[in-house]
Amino acid sequence: MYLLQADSTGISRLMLIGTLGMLTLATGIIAFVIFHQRKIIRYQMQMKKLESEKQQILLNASIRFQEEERQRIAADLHDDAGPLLATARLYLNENLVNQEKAQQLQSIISAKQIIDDAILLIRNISHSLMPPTLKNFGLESASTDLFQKISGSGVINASARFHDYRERLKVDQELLVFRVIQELVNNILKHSNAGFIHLTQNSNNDNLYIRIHHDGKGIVQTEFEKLNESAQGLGLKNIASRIKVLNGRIYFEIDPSQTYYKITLEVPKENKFV
Amino acid sequence: MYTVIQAVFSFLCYYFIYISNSYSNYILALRVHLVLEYLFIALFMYNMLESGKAKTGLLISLPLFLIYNIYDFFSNDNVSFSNNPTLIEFLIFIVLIIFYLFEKMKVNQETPAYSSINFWLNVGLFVYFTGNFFYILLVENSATASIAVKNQLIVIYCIITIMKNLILSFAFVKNDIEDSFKNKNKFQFPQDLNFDTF
Repeated sequence: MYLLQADSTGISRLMLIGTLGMLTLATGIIAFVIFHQRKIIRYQMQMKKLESEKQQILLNASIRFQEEERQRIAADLHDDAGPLLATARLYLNENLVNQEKAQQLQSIISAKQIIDDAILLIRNISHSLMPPTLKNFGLESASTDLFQKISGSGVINASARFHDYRERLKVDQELLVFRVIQELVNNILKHSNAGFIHLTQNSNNDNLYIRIHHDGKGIVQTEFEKLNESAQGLGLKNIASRIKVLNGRIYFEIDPSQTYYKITLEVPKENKFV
Repeated sequence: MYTVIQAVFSFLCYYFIYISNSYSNYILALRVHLVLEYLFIALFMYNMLESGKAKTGLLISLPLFLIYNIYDFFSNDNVSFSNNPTLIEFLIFIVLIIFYLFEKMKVNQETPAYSSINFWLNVGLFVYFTGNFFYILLVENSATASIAVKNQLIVIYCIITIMKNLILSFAFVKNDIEDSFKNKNKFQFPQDLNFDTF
């Protein structure tokens, strides 16, 4: 009724006020939604960051503990078990004199052989727990050594090439990277049925890159993520946790030519890792 | 599709008014356009909304809106265009868009709602419906109003429509931003480094 009675000025004013009012209301609601969401997302990101930092500390601690334990075991095996077994062999050698000759000879040769094997085994365990090449000469030598050994088996063609490793990573970082390489190589040898496996390395100012190529049956990133989330794939989980400690990234892909798979590791040179 | 329908009906309205001088056909074309517009936006909103109740309500409103339009069309003299169905349409969509925005506020998500195309399409429609609400409410009275007021009505309508179109265009630009947001976490290697020479 008011509208019908309103004059031109009234309509004009009502129209302006009404439209402006509605637009203000609309803008207010939209702004409220946007700012509220921004606030929520910022809060979520903060929580995520805190959670990730907490996880990182835990992971760091657990891996550090694991590595320290491995080093201790390696030292114990090498310094204690090795000399003890060697001494046992000497005792056995001395006792040879007091027994019947044929039996003595046979048993002592067997004992000697077993002890030799034990010494070798302990030495191998020690080396696998903390590769001496890695400790003494760094990632490049350790990786080259690993790939030479694989290639030496004659089963697979393996090589490692470091393009630019003048600036070495910290020892702890090198160890983690080496463990990741070992795990990846083990997986390739076990599951892929590959004919070759090559490792290449390069780096820029910020990151170190390692890429492993193989022509076997591989996985791509989505499969890696799926396996990582599932109960299976403990090895892949270890890889993921080590990469997380390194603040790095890993990417699984198949070459566009579809002939070989590539796994690329990115490790930041400046790391919060202590 | 929506744009095609808008274009077709704009042409029909122009034809009925200025060429065939058939005002009743013009009113009929406006009605059909209104129903189709309601149908399209309702289907768009149906896809956007997450609440099952709101979706059901929206579906039920479709035949009701059609029936009301038919009733309103035949109960009028076909000489003037009744704004009531348009006002109802505007009110329904204003409420639904507010509901959509609050739904978006409640849902926890990693990417913000305002980085999606749908959010900005809704914002564009929201500005259009709220901004033109008073225009639709008062346009009937403009027949008796002065030329200055009529001009003012047209200016406001044009400004709001341009704003809506700008926001809708922005929505498509936003779509690219959303894609780039999604691609941000994709692993990319430096192109200048040689990894592949064994």
